[in-house]
Amino acid sequence: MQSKKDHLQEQFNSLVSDYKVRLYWHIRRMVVSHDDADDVLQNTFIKVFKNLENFKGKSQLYTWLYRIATNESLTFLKKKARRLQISDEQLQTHLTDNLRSDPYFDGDEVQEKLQNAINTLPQRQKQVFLLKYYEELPYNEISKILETTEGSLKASYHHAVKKITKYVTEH
Amino acid sequence: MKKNWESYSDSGFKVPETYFDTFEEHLKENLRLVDMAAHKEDGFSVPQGYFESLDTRIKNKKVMILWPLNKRFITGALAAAAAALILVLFLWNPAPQENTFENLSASTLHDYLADEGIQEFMTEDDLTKIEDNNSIFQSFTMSDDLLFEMIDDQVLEDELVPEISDK
Repeated sequence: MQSKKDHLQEQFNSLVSDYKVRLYWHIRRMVVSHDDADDVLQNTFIKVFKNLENFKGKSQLYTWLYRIATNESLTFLKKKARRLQISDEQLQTHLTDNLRSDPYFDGDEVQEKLQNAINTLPQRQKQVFLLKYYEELPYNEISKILETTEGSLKASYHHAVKKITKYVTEH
Repeated sequence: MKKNWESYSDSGFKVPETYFDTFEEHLKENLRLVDMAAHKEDGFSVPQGYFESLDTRIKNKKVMILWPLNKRFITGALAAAAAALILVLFLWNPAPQENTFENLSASTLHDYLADEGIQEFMTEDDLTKIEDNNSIFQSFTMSDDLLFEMIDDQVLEDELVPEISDK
């Protein structure tokens, strides 16, 4: 008979296999660098492993995973800003400046411009935009991940799109 | 439309070629490190059931074996301390000299004689001898008149009157 521990281990292995790529890209767009994304993804799954036993299944599994990944990314960015002794806003500029020299970025001019535009957004607008535009998640799921109302999300996304459009046309 | 996550890099970002293939392996190593850190593994182990039976083994320990040793030790230590104290007192505080008139200071004798009213019956010569630290009782001579003055009148009556009347 399979023990509880073995069952959890099996569940975890399956979860890593199913979600590692999706979560990686979600994290990568937030932290930009591959090495940082790898660190955050590892930490995300370590946290998932520690808390899997307590996951009650009230929310969908992927909503729970995205929430952990988002929080881990934000924590990482805050720590990085503190380590570099710069503000959160200055860190966004720092990420944009390093994009061109990143060996794991080969986007064309339009893609580079889009990434730069995204990095000019305030953190909350950036998260909403990434989850809606790239992950194509519905508002009700995003509201669970970011723990905010759908109305607020819609407003944030609307502002984000306007700012990005303005940035791309002006640069 | 379902996304093809594996090749999802339409934003210009790339990943190292075998990154996702080896991800689980790296994650497993990290989880092991985290687990080791949580349990502070250092290679030491204890016999099976050691902690479960520890309380009982401590309670059953015969403490009587240690007591005579301690008692002997304490008794010996006390005896040694007492002997050392006696030795120190003996060396540090030797027996006091015998109190004699020769040992008394002249001022002490003067004070005594004055307080007792004796000094006024002494001659200048006697007082000089005291100041020269000579024993007054070796050289002190008392005249008969002085002697009679010092002896209580009642004593004289009690002792001498019957003797006279007998004659």
